Amino acid sequence: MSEILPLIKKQYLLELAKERKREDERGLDEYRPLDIQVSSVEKAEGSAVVTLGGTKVFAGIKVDAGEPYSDTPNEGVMITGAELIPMAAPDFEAGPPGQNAVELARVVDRGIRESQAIDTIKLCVKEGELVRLVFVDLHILDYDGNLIDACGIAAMAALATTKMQVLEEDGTPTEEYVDLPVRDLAIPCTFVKLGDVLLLDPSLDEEKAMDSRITVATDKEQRVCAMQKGEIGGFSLDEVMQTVRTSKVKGEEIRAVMREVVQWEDSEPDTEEN
Amino acid sequence: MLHIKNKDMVVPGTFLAEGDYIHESGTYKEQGKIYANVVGITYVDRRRIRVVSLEGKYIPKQGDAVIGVISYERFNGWKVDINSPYEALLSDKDIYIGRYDSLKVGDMVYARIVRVSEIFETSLYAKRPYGKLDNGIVIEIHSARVPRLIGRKGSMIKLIKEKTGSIITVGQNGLVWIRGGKKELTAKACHMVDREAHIPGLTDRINDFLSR
Amino acid sequence: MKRIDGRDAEELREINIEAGVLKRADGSCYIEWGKNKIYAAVYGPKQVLPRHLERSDRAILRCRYNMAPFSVEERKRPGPDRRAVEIGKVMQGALEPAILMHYYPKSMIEISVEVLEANAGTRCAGITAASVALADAGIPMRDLVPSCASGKVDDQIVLDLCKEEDNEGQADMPVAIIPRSDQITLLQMDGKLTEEEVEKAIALAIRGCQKVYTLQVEALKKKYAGAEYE
Repeated sequence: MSEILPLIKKQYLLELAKERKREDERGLDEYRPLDIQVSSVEKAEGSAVVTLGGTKVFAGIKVDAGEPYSDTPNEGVMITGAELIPMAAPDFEAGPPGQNAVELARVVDRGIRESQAIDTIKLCVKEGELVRLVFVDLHILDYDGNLIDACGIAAMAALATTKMQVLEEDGTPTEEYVDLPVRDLAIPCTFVKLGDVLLLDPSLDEEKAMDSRITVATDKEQRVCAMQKGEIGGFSLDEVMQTVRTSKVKGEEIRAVMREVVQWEDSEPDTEEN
Repeated sequence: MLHIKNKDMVVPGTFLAEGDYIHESGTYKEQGKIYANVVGITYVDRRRIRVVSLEGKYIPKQGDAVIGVISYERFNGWKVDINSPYEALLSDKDIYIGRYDSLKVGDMVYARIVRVSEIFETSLYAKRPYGKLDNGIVIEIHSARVPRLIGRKGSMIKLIKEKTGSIITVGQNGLVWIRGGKKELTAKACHMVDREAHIPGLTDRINDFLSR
Repeated sequence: MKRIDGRDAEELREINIEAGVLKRADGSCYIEWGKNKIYAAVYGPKQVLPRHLERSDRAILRCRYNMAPFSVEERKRPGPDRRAVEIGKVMQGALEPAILMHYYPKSMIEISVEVLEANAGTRCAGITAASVALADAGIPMRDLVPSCASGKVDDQIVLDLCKEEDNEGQADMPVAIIPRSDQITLLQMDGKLTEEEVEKAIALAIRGCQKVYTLQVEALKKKYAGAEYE
């Protein structure tokens, strides 16, 4: 079917929302079935596949070394990119990332960066000269709604299971591997607004029918570390605060699942591993 | 001679028969030999062989009743997306639109295909008993499963209608319009047929599901 | 003589093929071939855009091959490089002869192959998977198109080179065939081979393709295990 959402479908979703119901019978604050698999790809220093409902995304982490940014000479660098590859949906075109891909990558990046989930000081090899570069590449395989949360979860799970080679000060690789210094698990929660109702984890059709969208990312202390209002349309202050409150609770639920899968412990990570 | 049995599952390139056979849909003939060209179930009826595809997009056929979405307005009608590689045209002369009403992009119509050219230019007719869909829900199943949803002599669709009280209109292109009765239950039953069409015992399972 | 990974000269790496793995795509396939991990997806037949590419008598085919940045040892920048563009073209040459293009005039079939992890032989695995994805999409074809490479390593003609063999070896030859007619639709070679070696390598690759073919058929049938129709 073309990507136009039939009006009759939009009407139906709005009616359901007014009765506080959803097409797949979920609660308004309920995530679709979530599956996280880590370490699926050998060539990547870290990787994760996340399936959220019908959405399937792949996050791959590659750790390299290079010059730091001049304003942060003793910190490592994280670079996040997303590709909405043609196989994920009928209307995804091949080519350089468009607005949607760029926004997706930047919102996922913001949650992780602002929560300081990665201890970037520990990624410094030689101040001012050599730091670790952490590339987060998001590859969308199947698009069925809510790429932001699927990608945020995949990126975080991949980072939390990344192992990188220890480097000498001059950049020579040693035989040792250590865990990437991850000290928090940032989790984004995305909502869409249908009429006056807020729905967490929108399905594909809910996304097509929405008036607007908002993402709230939280850290392990349940502080808000990133927010993004997306698409055309607006929210009232009450609505925003509602999403913040829900994100704190739901973010923690996802975090608990992730802790299990990646076996992350909430402490300063070990830097020696044999 | 036949190289497969009736109701065998085959894949493209499977050698079906050679000699005095007539090859029908889902097959092709090369140098006197007949092969399957899709993944599907083979049917042999005396000397006629065909393979019914388990997948595949809907290709417009004259006489089919379909459900589509208005995708584009033209000066004297509309382009209609009928869930096919080929879009259809509906002229404003072939649908009754009330004085205060109009068809816009996103509206859905139930229509009959009245003409299909060699290159699949497709024309629709949407006057009574066809027309604009005004309420209810529309779901999508594989067009290859439509015969299964309808059932032998309409048995499956009748069973679902009886158990749910819904009015169900099935488009040959895989779109199904449901209104009244237990709409959500009806939708679930249709999706179940779509998913499990190839697993034996479907009718009983649908019956059980709807009787709960 | 045993090879680097312990295989015999004519032994394939372990291959697993799954059909119908993606929700949105019209047809899809996931393949693990040795350490290769590759997805293939098909959309179509569908409307041709841009319209001027449309052909009134048949469908057109577009093939895309892409490697994810994390699929190789040194991170690869996103987007197709020249190698990927060439592979897209030869993939089209391998698959199109098997597709009954005249069934769908004025339409387009798009094939997408994504490599998530690479370990030599990605174009063969990609073609193998794409062919299953095409069948999964219900697109009429003369036959499936299995693909496999042969080559020369340590002075021996061997089947299905792994990465180490590809790096150290003396020749690499990816091949694809239409099994029913034994037509070769993909043939590339780099390295140094005598005429005899070429013939031996092609024959070996064809035997490899035939083994791959049975795996393709199995994968498609598995999706409908117990299929029945009234």
